[in-house]
Amino acid sequence: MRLLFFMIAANFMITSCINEEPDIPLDEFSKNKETVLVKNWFNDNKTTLRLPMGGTNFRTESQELILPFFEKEPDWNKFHHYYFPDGREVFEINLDNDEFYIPSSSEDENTLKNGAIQNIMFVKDPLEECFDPLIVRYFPDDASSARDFNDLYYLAIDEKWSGWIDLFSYDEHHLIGFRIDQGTKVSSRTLSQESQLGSESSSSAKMVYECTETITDWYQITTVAGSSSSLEYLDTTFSKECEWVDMGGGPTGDGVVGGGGGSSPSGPNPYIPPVIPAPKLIIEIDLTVAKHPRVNCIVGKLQMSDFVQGIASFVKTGDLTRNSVIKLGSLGINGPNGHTKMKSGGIIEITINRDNLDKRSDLVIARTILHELTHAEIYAALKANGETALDGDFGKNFDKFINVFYGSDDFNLGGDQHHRYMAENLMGKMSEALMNIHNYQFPQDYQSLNDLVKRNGDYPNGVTVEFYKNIFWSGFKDTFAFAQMEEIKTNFPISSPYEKFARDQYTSTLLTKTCGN
Amino acid sequence: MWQLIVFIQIWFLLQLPTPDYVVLIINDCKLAKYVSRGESPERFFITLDYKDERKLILVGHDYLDQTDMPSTMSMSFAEIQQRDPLYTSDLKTFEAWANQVAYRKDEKKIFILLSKDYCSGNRFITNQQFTLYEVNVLLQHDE
Ligand SMILES: [Zn+2]
Repeated sequence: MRLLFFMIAANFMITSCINEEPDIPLDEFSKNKETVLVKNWFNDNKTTLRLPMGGTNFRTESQELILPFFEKEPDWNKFHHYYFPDGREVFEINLDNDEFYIPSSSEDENTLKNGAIQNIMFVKDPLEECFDPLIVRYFPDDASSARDFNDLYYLAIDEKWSGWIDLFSYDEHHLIGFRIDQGTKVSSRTLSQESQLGSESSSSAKMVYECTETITDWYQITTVAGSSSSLEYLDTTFSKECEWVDMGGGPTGDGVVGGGGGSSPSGPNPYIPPVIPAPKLIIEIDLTVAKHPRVNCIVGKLQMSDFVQGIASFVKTGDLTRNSVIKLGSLGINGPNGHTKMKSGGIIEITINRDNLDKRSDLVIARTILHELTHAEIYAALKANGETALDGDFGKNFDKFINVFYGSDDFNLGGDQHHRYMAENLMGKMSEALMNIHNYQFPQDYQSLNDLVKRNGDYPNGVTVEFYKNIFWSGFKDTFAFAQMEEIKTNFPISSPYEKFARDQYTSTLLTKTCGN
Repeated sequence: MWQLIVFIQIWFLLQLPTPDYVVLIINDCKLAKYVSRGESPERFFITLDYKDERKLILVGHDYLDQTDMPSTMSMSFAEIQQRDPLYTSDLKTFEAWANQVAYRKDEKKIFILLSKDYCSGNRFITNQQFTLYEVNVLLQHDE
């Protein structure tokens, strides 16, 4: 049965990307030019987008939640056009259907009036002229999270919005749900027909986090004659949410919808949806940065990095979809190069010290911003039960360093744990990212550095990632890893790791300060 | 007439250019470690690893691009003393290094007298000329 499902799923993926009509006529809908391609593609292919066995039975032998199918009627005039961090183009279009599904946590049909939204997302295939359709439903907790279509979409959840975001396949297989509290993803759910508690007792015993089960009743609302509506019970599902407990913790085991499937460890759900990133850091570029040509230039270059794109997207000053902010501030000439704080409203604030910028090279400012971004992502990961693009094993790895539970406003308290975690787990990734940024975004500076390190004999074959590790070490001096590095002694003329650290730190002072000029 | 001469003398005194540099004497003779980066022209950096709040301070004379080679100058010890030099042993805090050396408000350049010169006793030789090297200074900040 699993195999059959896998084949069906694979078939779905293939058929969903069929493009039978390569010549797409442009018509009078050109006022929404961007959606014309999608619309034409959808009209040509909508009959092939369903699983052959989907039918109207929303339960099969599988454990997954499959709601009744209805023909989707996108309102092509209401759309959002954006890109996932990996560069894939997305059109998110409002559904004009009378049919709507609500989970019982939303209590009643008033949810509709409270601003629940159902949209269809067309994720463009990076290679073919075809799309993967997904249904996304936003279930706000209450009226305070009611939003107009224009104010809410998958990559733009504002910091006041709380509720669930659930993703379904085109023919209503539930894929994954994300719990959002005040604009931040705190957990995710996969749904199954049978209770999950107790089924994983052995693995639960090993783990230190606590899991609770939520029972959800699903209803269909059908709007009749415009306003009045009928409410019909459909099914009950179970989902498991795991929370951190003191001195313990780990990832929930649920995760981002992944191309490899397997996002649900307990339910036999062989469906392979397209890879959809989890909501993540949306960083507002404060005016202090936007108006500082050099730092703005460096932040712009950082945005080109895969590493940065994996954890953050950036929005303009005043964009309330942000859940974090990067700004310049006076931290004093004796102060830190930058710091990152979780503010009381849950907004993560990165401040870059403006007082010593003139003396610092573009590369080391980029280093500082990358360091602070990583702090921000760690805060976000802690809030999201360990889910982060930084590290598939975040919970376990970070757990080793937990003395102070997150939520403390004193970033210095948390800082040690962050630094120890970064030094032992992320050094390689961060350094590679910085090297790529230097190579591709600052090519002249990178070339000059290569000439210099060859001339000096530091890196006879040209600079390696070791150089960038040494650039990062200065932020991790408070760690055990640094102390260990410092302890390693060598005999002359071999330089010790610490001597190389000092050497490369010094070399970094010679690099250029020309970004934005 | 003599009033005019005095005035002119005072006027000239006032017009004497204040030097656009500060001399820093590396007199932490044991702590300072000189690392050569090349001999012609002489390029190097010096580590001052204080292991206190000053942390690791790096002072160096090198270039990325040949056109940016920092300058040098030659001076006797008596002349250096007339410049009211700073001594590293007097810079006891991170703040002192920040204010007086690394991030000077007046943006004056820093020229150093190497510890190997200062500590050698050569400074007691009359008219001995010392090379002063323009340097970059790197302080380690938290982040
Ligand atoms: Zn830090």
